[in-house]
Amino acid sequence: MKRFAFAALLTLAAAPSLALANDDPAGRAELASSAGRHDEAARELERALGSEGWSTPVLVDLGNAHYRAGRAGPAILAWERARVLSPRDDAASVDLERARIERDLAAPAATPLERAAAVLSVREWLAIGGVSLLAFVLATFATGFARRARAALIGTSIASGLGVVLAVAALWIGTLSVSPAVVVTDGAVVARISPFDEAEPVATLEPGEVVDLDGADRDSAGWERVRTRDGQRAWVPAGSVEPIRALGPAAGAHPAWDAAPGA
Amino acid sequence: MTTKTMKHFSLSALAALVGLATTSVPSTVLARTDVDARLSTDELRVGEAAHLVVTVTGDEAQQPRVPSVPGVVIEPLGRSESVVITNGRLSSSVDHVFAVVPQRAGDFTIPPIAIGDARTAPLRAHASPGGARASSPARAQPNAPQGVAPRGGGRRAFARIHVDADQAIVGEAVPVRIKAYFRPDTSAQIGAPKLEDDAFLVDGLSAPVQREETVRGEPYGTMTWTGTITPLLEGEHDLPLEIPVELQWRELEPAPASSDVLARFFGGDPFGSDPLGGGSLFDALGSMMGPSWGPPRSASVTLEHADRITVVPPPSEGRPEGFTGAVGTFSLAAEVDTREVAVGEPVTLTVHVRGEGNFDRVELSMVEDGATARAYAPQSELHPDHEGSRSATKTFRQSVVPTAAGELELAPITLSYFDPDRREYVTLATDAQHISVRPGSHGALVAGDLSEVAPSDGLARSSSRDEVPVATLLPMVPSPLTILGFPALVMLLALTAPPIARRTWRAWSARHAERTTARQVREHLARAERAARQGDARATYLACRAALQHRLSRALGMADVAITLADVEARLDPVPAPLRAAFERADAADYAELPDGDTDLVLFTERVRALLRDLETR
Repeated sequence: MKRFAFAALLTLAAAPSLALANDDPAGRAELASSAGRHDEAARELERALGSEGWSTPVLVDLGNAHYRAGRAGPAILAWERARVLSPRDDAASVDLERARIERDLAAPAATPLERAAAVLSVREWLAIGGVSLLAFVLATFATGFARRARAALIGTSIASGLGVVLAVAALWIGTLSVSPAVVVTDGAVVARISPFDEAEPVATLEPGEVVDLDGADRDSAGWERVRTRDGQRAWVPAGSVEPIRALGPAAGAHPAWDAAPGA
Repeated sequence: MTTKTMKHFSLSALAALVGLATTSVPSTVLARTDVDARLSTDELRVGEAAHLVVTVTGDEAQQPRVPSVPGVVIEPLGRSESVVITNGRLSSSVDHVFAVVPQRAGDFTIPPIAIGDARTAPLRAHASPGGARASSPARAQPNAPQGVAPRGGGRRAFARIHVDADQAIVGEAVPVRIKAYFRPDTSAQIGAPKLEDDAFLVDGLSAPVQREETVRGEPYGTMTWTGTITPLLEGEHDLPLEIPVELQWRELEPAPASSDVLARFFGGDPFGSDPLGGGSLFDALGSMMGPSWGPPRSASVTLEHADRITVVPPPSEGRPEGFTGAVGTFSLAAEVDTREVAVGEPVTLTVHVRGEGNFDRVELSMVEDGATARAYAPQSELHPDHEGSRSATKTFRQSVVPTAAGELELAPITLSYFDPDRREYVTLATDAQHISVRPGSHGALVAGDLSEVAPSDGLARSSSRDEVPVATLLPMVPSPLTILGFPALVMLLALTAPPIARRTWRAWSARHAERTTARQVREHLARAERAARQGDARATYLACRAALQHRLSRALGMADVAITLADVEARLDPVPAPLRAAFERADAADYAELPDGDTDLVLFTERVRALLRDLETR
């Protein structure tokens, strides 16, 4: 009797968390992942992104689920996106490093300035720039009217102005000076010299490889022009690559991934 | 042809290429023109061809003209060029090859051949009667060495293989040289040499080198490949060589065939045979027409040859445990790309094996997974010193990721090989590599152990679980306008706005002060007028002085109540009479009794009003 009562008590105690896990896509994904159902976990995490928005832990878990399911391309895409949100999150960096070593993939090349700009996320640079801009405006106005402490106000104005310039430079380097990077998500992709199926192959892009979109007229009827790691320009099917920096909300579950294990 | 590289060996093509190269060289560096001629043999048979080679050095553009020789047909076959640079000086020469076919027995002389001022010596030769008829080129036979026999003896093409050692050890890299020979009047398409034998591994055959050589007095174009072979099985082995080639050439057809043509045309020889045994008239006509070039001939042949080598195993005595079959002479060096990392950051261990030998058997036991580090599969690259070289560097790279903070030691890497020169085994070892591992820099990695955030499969999880999701990964439109334009506009406004605002504020303040002053002046003046009408002298003077003080306060920069007659006298010269009177009488009203009825108060007030208007306009 005592045992029954204890079991009932345990069930009652666990009920809220189980109910929460069943209602919450991330919770369901965790349950599926712990049971080894990584495809299901990936779908749940995609739904979580679609319903709640982009989130670093969800993206890292999504990358882990894809990687455990054997899909290096979507996994690297998710981890790269996690690093866009949180550049200093070690989990995404460690997982990316490991996946690239295991898959013999090179990390995207970056100049020292680009690496410096990537220390903070776009949001953090925007916050620094916004606060600095506000401080600059206030300090400059105050300097125009104040009769005391003008030196301090001028110093504040200069410092905040430098903060604005720094943030603008970082945002410029991090978003405008580099070409939009895309990740190969759809298996090994044959890059061709022209945007049609019969064109001569130029290179084979491995799943998870990061390449840059190339030029202004880089899309043509379902094809994207990219620049490979060795500098060659080539066309790949548009659906085979996805941009790391997604402007819009998460799209939800990706049906193609269900049908493309090993991508 | 589909999988093997076919080299088109054509003297004419070679001549065109070399000619193109030489035309780009300034003519001033070329040597003076010289000409030389040689005959492949001075003993010929009637109807058989010998080769006349005319070598022009210096001005190779000139074509030598060979004078005609009675009873001898001389036809050009082709030309080949060569360029030699010695001590920075360039010299070029062109060999013009002619076929020389005597038509009758006896001695003949080829006169001197002239190129500009240079000329050759006359060439003398003897033709014997009874030359053999031309025969079709024979197909290669499987006996080595093989070739295709041209008309007139010799071989049109053949091959040789030479192994540098009679005896080798299993796994030892042995240099090998392959050479194919082709007659100058023969074009050839050459496939890659085949050395297919299970007992050998062929590695690093170089690109062929073209040269010209003379073999038993006959000129030949040669192609030479060099490389190494590695014996895999012990015993006596033949090393068979096969080179597939397609040959093309033309041959001189002998004259007597022409009488058959005439006979076929006339339906028989109407003159019949000479009863004296001198032959028919058609035979005589045919012999006068001389030999002519036949149609192009071609043949697909396989040039074959073999060399023998004895292979012995490395001695079993003293064989090290880690011996993988490497035979040669090697050195070993190891390095890491960093000596200090954080947990989770990879360290790249690089080991270089340099030397000569069978690098395909050089394998290293690299770092293995341990409690404090995760080791990934190593990758290796082979970099020969140059193409076809036996000496090379094999580089092994391995990524090692520390999983715990502290001192990480990567064990020494060893290499065991057999040195064929010293006839003994050698074991080399690198130094151990020491790496300082600091704890992770963020989140759960601060705990110093990657396993705390990594599940059993090693994938890490994010520690920022309470992060608020966001709608977009790029919370701004990445355009120059938003990134540069907006902050620049705001900063420009911030810089330009204060002076404008300050000026506006000052103007507004001045107007406000003026309005206040005017209002106060009006009030005091109205009070003065009321007092004047009532005959209250004291109030009249005090009100007039107050009105004047308000009017003067902004001009004098003083508070209105603080202005005295002395201040006015100090600033205004002369002091207007109503002003002085107003201050004096008001002061008198303050400190003494005023005399009654000495002044018309209304008139005084009017004068003060006029004075105030005057001060306002000033």
